[in-house]
Amino acid sequence: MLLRASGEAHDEAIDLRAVTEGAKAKSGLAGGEALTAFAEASVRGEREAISSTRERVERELGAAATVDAAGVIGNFERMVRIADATGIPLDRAVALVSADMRADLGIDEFGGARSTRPVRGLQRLLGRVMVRMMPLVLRRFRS
Amino acid sequence: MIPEGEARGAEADLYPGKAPNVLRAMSLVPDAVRRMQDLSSAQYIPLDQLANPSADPGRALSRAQIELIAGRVSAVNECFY
Repeated sequence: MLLRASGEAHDEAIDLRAVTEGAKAKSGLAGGEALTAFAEASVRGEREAISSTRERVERELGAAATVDAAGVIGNFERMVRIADATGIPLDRAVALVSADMRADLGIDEFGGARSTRPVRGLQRLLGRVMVRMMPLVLRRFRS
Repeated sequence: MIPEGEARGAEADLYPGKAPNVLRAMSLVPDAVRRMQDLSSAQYIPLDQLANPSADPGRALSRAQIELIAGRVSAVNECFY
């Protein structure tokens, strides 16, 4: 959801399928394929691929971006374990505004989805209204 | 867990604003929440900037590039949260 919001905040068209499909889908972001490939190799612990994808990120985006990317990967390797180990539900407002997107991307099929109450009926409609309002909210942040 | 709005006294600093579930989940060990915030500020986004995608996190990556990596790591781990 934060990826979608970031795209809207900066008027960037982002293909969210890059999150679930990786390098098969082109995110539309500079160096996007290199970054997703580096992330995948790191999570899967593929040593040779970690080296080659890290070098690719450095070639395409520079050394500082490579360090930042490694930091984000490390941070989320920790965060996903906290979330999955504690079994926390998605924060309700996030659940509402991300319901359609999660269904479209297949994220609702993940095992952890059981921890979050499904978003149905009026709440689903409310979530869609909130999504439509999001660009207006983001514009307020920018001004 | 310490609910949002009930972090008081020695724990008054625990939630700078909104308290997402991932923070509250750690709150029985308050220092774990503080260290998690420290790490996230250094490696990802300071918590007080999280809800504002227009904020400049001062990184060599754009906010969208950061979120792409975060999303992909979560998806490969099949993390729903």
